[in-house]
Amino acid sequence: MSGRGGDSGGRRGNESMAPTQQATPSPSSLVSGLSSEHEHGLTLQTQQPTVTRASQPKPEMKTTAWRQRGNESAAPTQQAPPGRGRGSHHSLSKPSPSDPVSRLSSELEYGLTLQTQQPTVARASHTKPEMKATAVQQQILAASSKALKPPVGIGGMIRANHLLIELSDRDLHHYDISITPEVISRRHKVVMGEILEKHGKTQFDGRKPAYAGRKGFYTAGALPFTSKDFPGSTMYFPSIIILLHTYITLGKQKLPTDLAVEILCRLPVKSVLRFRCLSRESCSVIDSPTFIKRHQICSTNSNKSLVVSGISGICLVDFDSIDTKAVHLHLPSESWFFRTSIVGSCDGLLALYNSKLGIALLNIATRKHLILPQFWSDFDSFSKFYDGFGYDSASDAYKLVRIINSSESLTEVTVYNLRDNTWRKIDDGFPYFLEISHGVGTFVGGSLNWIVGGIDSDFEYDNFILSFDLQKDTFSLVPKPHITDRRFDICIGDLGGSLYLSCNKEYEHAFDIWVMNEYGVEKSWGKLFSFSFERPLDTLAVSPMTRPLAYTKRGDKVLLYRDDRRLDSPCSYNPGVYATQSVVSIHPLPFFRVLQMSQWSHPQDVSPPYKGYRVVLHVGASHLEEIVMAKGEIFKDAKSGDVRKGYFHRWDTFRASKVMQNMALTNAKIDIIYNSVVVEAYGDGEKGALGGLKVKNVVTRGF
Amino acid sequence: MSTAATADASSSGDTTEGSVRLLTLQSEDGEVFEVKETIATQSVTIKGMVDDDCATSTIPVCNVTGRTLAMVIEWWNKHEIGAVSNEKELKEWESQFDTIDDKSDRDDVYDLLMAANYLNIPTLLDCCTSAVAEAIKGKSTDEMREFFDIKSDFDEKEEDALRKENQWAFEN
Repeated sequence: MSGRGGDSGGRRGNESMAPTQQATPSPSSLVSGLSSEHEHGLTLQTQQPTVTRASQPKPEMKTTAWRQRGNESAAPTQQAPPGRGRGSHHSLSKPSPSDPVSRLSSELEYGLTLQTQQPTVARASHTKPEMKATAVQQQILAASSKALKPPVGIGGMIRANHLLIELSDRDLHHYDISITPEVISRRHKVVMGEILEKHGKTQFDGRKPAYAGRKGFYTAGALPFTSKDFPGSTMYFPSIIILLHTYITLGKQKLPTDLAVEILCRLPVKSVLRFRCLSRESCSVIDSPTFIKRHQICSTNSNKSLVVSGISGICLVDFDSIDTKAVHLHLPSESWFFRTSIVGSCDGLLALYNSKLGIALLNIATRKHLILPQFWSDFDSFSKFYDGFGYDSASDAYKLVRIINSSESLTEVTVYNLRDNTWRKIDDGFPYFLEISHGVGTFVGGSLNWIVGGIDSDFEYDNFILSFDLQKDTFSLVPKPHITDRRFDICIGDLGGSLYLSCNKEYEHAFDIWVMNEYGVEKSWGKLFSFSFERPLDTLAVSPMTRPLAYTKRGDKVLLYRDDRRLDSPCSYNPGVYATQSVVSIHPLPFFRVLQMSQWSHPQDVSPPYKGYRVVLHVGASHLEEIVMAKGEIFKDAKSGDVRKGYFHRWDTFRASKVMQNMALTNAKIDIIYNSVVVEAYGDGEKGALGGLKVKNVVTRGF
Repeated sequence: MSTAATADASSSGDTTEGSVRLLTLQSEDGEVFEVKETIATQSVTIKGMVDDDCATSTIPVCNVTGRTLAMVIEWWNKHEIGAVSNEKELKEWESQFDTIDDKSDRDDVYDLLMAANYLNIPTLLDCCTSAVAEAIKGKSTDEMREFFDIKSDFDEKEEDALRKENQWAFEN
C-alpha cells in the first residue's frame, strides 16, 4: 500500500506531480468540484514548524502517515497495487518509518502557516520568489477532519507555492509606468508612493493601485484616464507617465508589449514604419521611447547603407548587396540639389551643407529633414572651415561643430546643440592650422576628429589628430601611431567604430591602414594591413588617397575607397566594385533618431527651430493627442547617458500578482475562490498529532 | 531530455548524478522533466531560483505546457556550453521557423516566445523574436493584420494621414 511504499515509493515521489487524477470518486474531488490544474502535494506539519528541506530527506524522522484512503490517486507513494483505496478508508494506516512526509512537503516549496485556531483563514508566510500563498479555506479542514482529529490550537506550517486565487479579471487594469529619468529599482516605489500620496485621492478616483515596482501598475477598476503624465511631480523625477498597458496580438493570443517590442525592433525601419499603421496599439508601441531605444540598439549592426554623393545628387546603396541600384535621397528641396556636400553623419542622420542654403539634417530612414538656423558667422570664400556632426550620449544631444578660419586668420569654433537648439562659441585659443578648405570630422568615441596642422615640439610642421569632446566641449590631441617616415599623406576616418588612419606613401602607390582599437589609447594603434596598387603606366601622379570604408558583414573584408573612384576589396582580390560617384560614408540606419526627426518635422506651419520634442501619447480610445513637451521634460536621460540594454518587465506580472494577491486577500469586495482540497493527511498516530497534509488543486498559475 | 516516463529514481530535484545536480521541472499540465542544473540555468529565472536556493524541490514552470517545455529543454541541450556543432544545430533549429506562416507554427512560436520570456532565456528569446521578425519583415500592412489578427481601429482618414507621414515605406 501506498503508506508502506517505503523507500521505493518515496523515491518516486516526484511522479505524484504528474496528473494522475483518476476517476475514482474521492471526498476531495467532491469537495472541490472545480477544475484543477494539477495536483500538488502540500504538507501540513504541526510538529515541525521548520519544514524539512527537500534536499535532505530524513528517514530518521519519526513521522508516520495517516492516510485518508479515500483518494487513492493522490497517494504519491503508490506503486498502484491492486486493491488500493479499498478497505483503507480508515483514517489511520500503519506508520511507515520512511514515509516521505518530508519529501512530500518538499514538493512544494513555500511555507504556509495554518492556524488551526482560526480555521476560516490561515495566513501565509512567504518565501520568495514564488507567490504569496495566503489562505487555506475552511474546506480543507472540513475535508480532512473526517479522516483525522485535527490538533486544535497548534500552529503549523503548510508548504505550498501558492493557492489558487481567482480574481474577476473584468476589473483588473494593468498600466505601465515610465519614470524619467530612470531610477534605480528601489527608488521606484518611493517615487510612486509620493505620487499616490499627492494625487491619490484626486487623480486616481480613490482607487488604491498596486505597484509592482518597475513598470507594472494595477488597479481594480479603471482609472479615470487612459494615460496621464505627472510632470514635475517631484524634484528629481520630472516626468512620470501612467499609460494603459497595451498588447499586440499574435494569432489569437496576446503578446505582451515587451515581446512585441523585441520582435518589432528587429525589423528594418521601413517595415516598422509600415506597421505603425496597423492599429493604435502598434502605433503607440512603436512611438514609445522604450521602443525607439531598443530599436536603435538592435539595428546598429544591420541596415547599413553607403551614402554616395556626386553630381547626380546623394544616393543610398544598400551595403549588404552593393550591386543593387542606388536610391536617390530626397533632399530638403530642389534647390539643395546643387553644391550640397555631406558634412557628417551619425546614427542615420546626415548633415548636409549647402553654401547658399546653410546646414540641414536629413534622416535617411524617414527622409525627413530639419534646416538649422545659421549659427556661424559669415565667412568669405577664402576662409577654411571644418565641420563635424556627432552625438553626445551624456546629454542625449546631437551636436554640430563648425570651425572657421577666416581670411583674417581668426579661428572661430561654434557648437550647435540640437537638443535644445542652442549654440555657443568656444573661446579657447585654437593653435592649429586648417589645411584644406573644407574638412569633415570623423565621429568616433564620443568625439569629433580632424586632421590639423601645427608646430610640434621640435618646431617642425606636423599633422595632428585633433579631437573635440562633445560632452565636455573641449579640444585635445589624439596620439598618432608611431610612424618614423614622414613622407606620406594621412587621413582618418571611422572603420567599424574605431578610428583608422590611412597612411598613403607618396609616389609609391602603397598605403598602410592603422586602427586605434581603443579610442584615445596610443598603445592600441595597430596596423590592420598594408597594400600597394600597381602603378598605373600612364601616370606618374601622386597616388590617390585610399581609405577603408567598412568591414563586410562577416568582418573578413574591408571595402576601400580611392579618390580615383574605384572601389576594391583587397583582402580577397575580388574584382573591384565601381561606384559611379565618390563614396562618402557608411551609415547604420537605426530608428531612434528617425522619430526625433519625425517629431521635428511637425507642425508644418511652424518655422524651425522647434523648441523641445513632441511626444505622442495615447489618450482615450478615440483619438491621438499630441502633446508638445517643453524642452527637457522628457528624454532627460540619466547622467551616464548609457543606452540601457535589457529587458523591461520580465517579472512584472509575477510581482504584480504577488502584490495583487496580497491586496485581494485583504479586500472584502473580492471573492476569492479556493478549491484546494486536502487529499491526504499524515501524522503521528500515537500522539494523535497531525503531521502533514497533502492538498490538491494547488495551482501554480499567475494571472 | 527526460520526460515523465523516464524521470524515475528521484524523489526531488536534488538528486545528484556524479557531480551534476538534476532539477525537476513541472510544466503547467503536469509533465515532469528532469534537467541537469548546468543546462537549466540557461534560464535566468531558474538560475535565480538555484542561486536563491529555491530549486531544491520540483520547480513549477507555470504558463508553459509540457510540449513547449520539451522544446525548451531541447533548445537548452543544443545550446549547452561545449555542445558540439553548435552552429549547425542552431541552423537546424532555426529552420523550424521557415514556414512560420502556418497557423500551428505560429502557435508554436508563440508558446516558445512566452516560455522564453517567462523563463528568461535570452538566446531562445532572441531566436524566436528574430524568426518572427524575419517572417513579418516583408509583409504589407494588411498581411500583418492578418498575421497578428489585428483589426485596425483607425478610421480611413487617420490611416491615410499615417501612411502619408512615411509614404516611402509603402512603396516597393
